[in-house]
Amino acid sequence: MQFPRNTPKGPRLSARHLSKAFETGSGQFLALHDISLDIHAGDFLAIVGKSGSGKSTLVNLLTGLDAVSGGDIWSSANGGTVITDLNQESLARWRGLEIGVVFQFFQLLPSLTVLENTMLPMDYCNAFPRGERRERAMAILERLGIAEQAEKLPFDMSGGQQQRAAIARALANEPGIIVADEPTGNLDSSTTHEVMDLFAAQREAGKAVVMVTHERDLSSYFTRTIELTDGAITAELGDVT
Amino acid sequence: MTIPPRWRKLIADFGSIKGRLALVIAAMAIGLLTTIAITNAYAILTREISANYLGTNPASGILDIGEVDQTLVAQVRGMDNVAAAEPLSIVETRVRYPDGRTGRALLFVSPNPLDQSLNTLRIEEQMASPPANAVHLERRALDLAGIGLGERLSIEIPGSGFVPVLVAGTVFDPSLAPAEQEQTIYAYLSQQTFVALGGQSALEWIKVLVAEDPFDQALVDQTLAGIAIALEAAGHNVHLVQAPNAGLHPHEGQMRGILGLFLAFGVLAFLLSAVLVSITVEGLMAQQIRQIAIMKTIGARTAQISTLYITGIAIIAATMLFVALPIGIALGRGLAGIIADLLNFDIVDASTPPALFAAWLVTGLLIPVLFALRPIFRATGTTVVAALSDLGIGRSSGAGGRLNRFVARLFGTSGQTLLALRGAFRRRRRTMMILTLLGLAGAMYMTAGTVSVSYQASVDIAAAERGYDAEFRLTRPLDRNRVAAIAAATPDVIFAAPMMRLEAARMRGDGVALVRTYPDGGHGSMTLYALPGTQELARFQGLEGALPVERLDGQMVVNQGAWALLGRPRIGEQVNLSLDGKRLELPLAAVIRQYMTPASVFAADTDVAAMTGESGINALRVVNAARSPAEVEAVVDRVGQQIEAAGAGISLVVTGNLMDAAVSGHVNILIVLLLALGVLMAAVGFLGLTAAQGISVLERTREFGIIRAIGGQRRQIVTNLLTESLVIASISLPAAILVSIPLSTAINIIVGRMTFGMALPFTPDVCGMGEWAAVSLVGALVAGLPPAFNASRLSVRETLVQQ
Repeated sequence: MQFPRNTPKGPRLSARHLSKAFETGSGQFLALHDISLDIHAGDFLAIVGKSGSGKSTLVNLLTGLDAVSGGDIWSSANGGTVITDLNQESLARWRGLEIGVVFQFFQLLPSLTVLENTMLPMDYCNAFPRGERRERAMAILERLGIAEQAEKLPFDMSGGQQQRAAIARALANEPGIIVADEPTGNLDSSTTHEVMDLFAAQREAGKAVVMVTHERDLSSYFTRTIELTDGAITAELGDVT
Repeated sequence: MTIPPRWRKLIADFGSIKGRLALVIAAMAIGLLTTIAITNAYAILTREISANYLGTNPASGILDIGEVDQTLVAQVRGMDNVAAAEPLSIVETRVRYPDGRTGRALLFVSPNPLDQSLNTLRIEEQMASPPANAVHLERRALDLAGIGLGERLSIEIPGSGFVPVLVAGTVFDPSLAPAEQEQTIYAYLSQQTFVALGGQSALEWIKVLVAEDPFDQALVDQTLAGIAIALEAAGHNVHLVQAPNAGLHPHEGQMRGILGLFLAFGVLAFLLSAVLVSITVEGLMAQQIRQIAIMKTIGARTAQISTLYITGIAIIAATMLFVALPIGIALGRGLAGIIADLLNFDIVDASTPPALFAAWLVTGLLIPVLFALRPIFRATGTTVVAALSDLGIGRSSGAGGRLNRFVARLFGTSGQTLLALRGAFRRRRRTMMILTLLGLAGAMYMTAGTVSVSYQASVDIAAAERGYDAEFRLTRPLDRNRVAAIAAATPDVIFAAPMMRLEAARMRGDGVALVRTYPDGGHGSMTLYALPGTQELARFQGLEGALPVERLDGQMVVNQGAWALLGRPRIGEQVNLSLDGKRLELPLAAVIRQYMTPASVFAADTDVAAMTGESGINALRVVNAARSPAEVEAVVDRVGQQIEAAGAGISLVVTGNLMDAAVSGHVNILIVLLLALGVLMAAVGFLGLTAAQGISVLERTREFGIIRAIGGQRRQIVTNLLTESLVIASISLPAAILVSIPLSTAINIIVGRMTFGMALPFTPDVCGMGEWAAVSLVGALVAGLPPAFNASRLSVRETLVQQ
C-alpha cells in the first residue's frame, strides 16, 4: 500500500481503498467500498450524504473506533503510523493524542464537571504534567467562552454550552485532527453558527477538521466536501490536494 | 491534592449506586463474617481441644485386669515401650440427689487422684482444708448434683449402700462430656477414701502411656495388646483393653465433622454473596457502557478503564473486610466458647492463627474482585461502536425463547402477570443467581427444621420401641425366678423382663479384646444381653438378615451400633466376642435398628452360660402403671428395695426419663447454627434481590418511560415490580424444598451416625416449610418495595431522555 511521505506539507491522515462490511441477518452488507482520501492540516472537510450512505461508518474507521474490512489508514503521528495495524490499546492512545472527537449528543460524562471532562483525555493519555492539566483545561474553556461553566455538571448547561465543552475536551491534548459527527444536529441555528465558528477557528489555527453533516447551508465553512452514496465517494468538491 | 478526573468519575459512578453498593457490602460482609466466624471457631477449637486433652497427659490405654497391685504396676512400667503406668478403678454406681431422685455416677478411684501423672486433673476450687474421706467432683457435676462445695452427696458404694460423702472440691477433666449432658456425676477419690467409705480395697485397672510415639494408633494398639498377652501369660486375666483414639479428645472427630459442615455452608454463603458483586457490577457496567465508549474515544485504553473499576471493587472489598473482620472474629470466639462449653473444655488462648488472618485478607479481597472481572471485562472489552449504539434496553427482554413461550402458554399473551414473569426472567443468569441464594437459604432453614424434627422422631421411636420404663442393673447376678417374683410382687409393675447384661468387646485374632473406649466407658463400648427368647427384639425393625422366631440359640443378633463396631460382618459370619475376658463365638443372624441405643449384642442366655459360665440375672427391665416422673421414681424405689432385700445391690437404674434427659439437647446447637446460617443466607438473598431489582429498574428506565407514556400508571409499575419479586421468591420455594431433601438427608446421616451409628429417620418439617414460605414472600415484598417505588417516581421526560 502506497502512503504519502511524511513531510510538513503532507497529509495528516490518509485512507486507501477502505471498505467496511457488516454481517446482517440477510447476509453481508457492504457499508463502504474503495474509499481513498487524504486529510491535510488546515482542511475543513465535510462528509455529506443521505442517511445510511456510510458517513458515520467512514468517521468511525478514520478515528479507529471501528475496524476496517479492507484497506489501510495512515497517520503522520510518530513519524508515520499505519493505524490499521495497531492493536486496540495503541489505537486508543493514538486517538487520544492525535484525534479530537466531537459527537452530535455531546457525550460528556454526566458525573464529571466540565473542567474534569476537559482534563480527562490528558489524564488518560498522560499528555501533560499533572500539575499543568487544570490550567491548560481552563485555558481551553476560556478560549471557547465557557470558563464560567467550568465547575458545572453537563446537564446543568444548555445544548450549545455542552457542545462547546465537548469541543474543549476534543482539544484537550491538542490533536492535529478534529473529527465531528453531526456536531450541530442537536443545536438551534444561532448556536450552530457559534459552534461552526469555533471549528473554523481551529482550522485557521492549523488543525484539520472533519465533519459529518446533513446541513447544506454550512458549506461556506468547508474547504472541501465529499459526498457519499451507498458507501462510495460519488462527488468531491473543493481543494483536493 | 487534586484527584485525577478518572478517579473522580469512579467515585461518582459508585456514588450513583451507593444504595445498592451498601446492600452488596452488607450482604458480602454477612457472608464473609460467617466464613470468618466459622473458620476462627474451627481454628480455636481444634487447637484448644487438643491442648486441653493432651495437657492432661492422657493414657494411651487402660487394661481391665480385675486386681492390680503395686508390683503389677511396676511390672507393667518395666515392659517394652511403656513410659508410665498407674492403677485405678472406674466404678459405675448411683447417687441420690437431694430431691430423692437417683442418678448415674462414675467413681474414678486411684491412689492419689489429684497428683497422678496420667490423665491429670486440674483443681478448679476446693475447701480451704479438705477433710479426709471427701471426694472431688468434675466441675460440671456440682450443678447436676444440686449441692454446693462442702456439702454431702449420697453416693452408693458397692456393698455398702448409699453413703453421704463430703464434696471437698471440683476438678476439671477435659476428657469427659459435661455431667448434665450425660446425666452422670463424675467423682474422683483416693483408694484410701474409697475403702474408708466401704468400697473394696483392690484397684482393677492399669493406665498405660506408651513411650514411643503415643499418637501412632497402630503402635499403641500393638503395645497394649503386647502388655495384655504378657500379663495373660503371667497368669493374670486381662478382661479388656481400652485404647481410645490416640491423642484425640473423645469429641474431636464429631466436632471437626460438624464444624467442617458449617464451614462448607459458610464458604457457600460467602461465594453466593460474592455473586452479588458480579450482579451489581454488571448493572453498573450496563449503566456505564456508553460512557466507557466515550472514554475510549478520547484516548482511554481498555486496561486503564478495567483497572479503574477493579480498583474500585477492591476498595469495596476492603471496606467489606473492614466491617466483617472484627465482627466475624468476635462471633467466632463466641461460637468457640459455646462449643467448648458444650464439650467441657476451656479456651485458654482465643487468638487467631496469623495464617488464618492472611487467608481471610486474601479471600476477602480476591473473591469479590474475581467475581467482578467478568462483567468488567465484558463491558470494557465492548467496541466503541457497539457500546455507543447500546440503548440500554435489555436484549433478552423479547418474547422469544422457550421459557417465554411456555410462560405465554401458561398465562396468556397479555396482562401485567405476563409482563412481570417476563421481567423476572429478562436477565436469566442474574435471576438464577438470586434464585440460588434464596433457594439455598430456604433449604438451610428447612434443613434445620427437618434435622430437628427427625432427631425428635428418633427420640420418639426410641421411646416407643424401648418397651420399658426402667432398667435395673444389679451388682451381682440373681436367680431368674427370684427376680421375676420380686417384680410380680411389686405394686404397679405390670411387666418385667429379667436378663443377663455383660460388657462385650470384639476379640482380635490374638485373643485380646481391644475397644476404642475412653475412661468413662463411652464412645465404642458394647453390651451383650443374654435373653431367654426373642420377645425383647420383636418390636425392632430388621436391617439385615432375619430375626430368629422364638429363641436365639446358636445365633447372635446385633443392633446397628454394634454391627459398625464389629466391622459390619456378613450374615452367617462367625463373630468373636470377649465377655469380661471369656470368649463367645456365634454366627450373626440379624441386624436390628435401635434408635438412641448404644451398641448392643443379643444372644441366647443358654449359649452365654455354656460358653462363658455366666448365668443368672443382673438386669431387669420393668414396665409400670405409673406415668408421672415422680410416680415412676416411686415404683423404681420399691423395686430397688426388693432387689436389695434379695441380696443384690443396684449399680444403676436407667429410667426413660433419664435417657430422655440425656439425649435431649444434644443437637440443639446444631439446629441453632443451621437456622442462623439459613437466616444469614436469607439476608444475603433478600439483599441480593433488592440489589438485582434496583439494577433491573435502572436498566429498564426507558421501558418504564414508554409504559408511562402509553398510559401505564405508577401503581401498575409498582405492582409489576413487586410481582416480579414474588415470582422469584415463589419459584425459590420448590427449589428450596428440593435442595433441603438431600441436604437434610446428608445431615441426618452425619448426626445420626455420630450419635448412634445410623441415619436419623427423615421426617420433613412441614411447619418449617410453611414458615419459610411466609418469610420468603414477605421478604420478597420488602425487598421489592424500594426499587418499585424508585421506578414509579421516575418522570416520563426523565426516562425517555436517558441515553
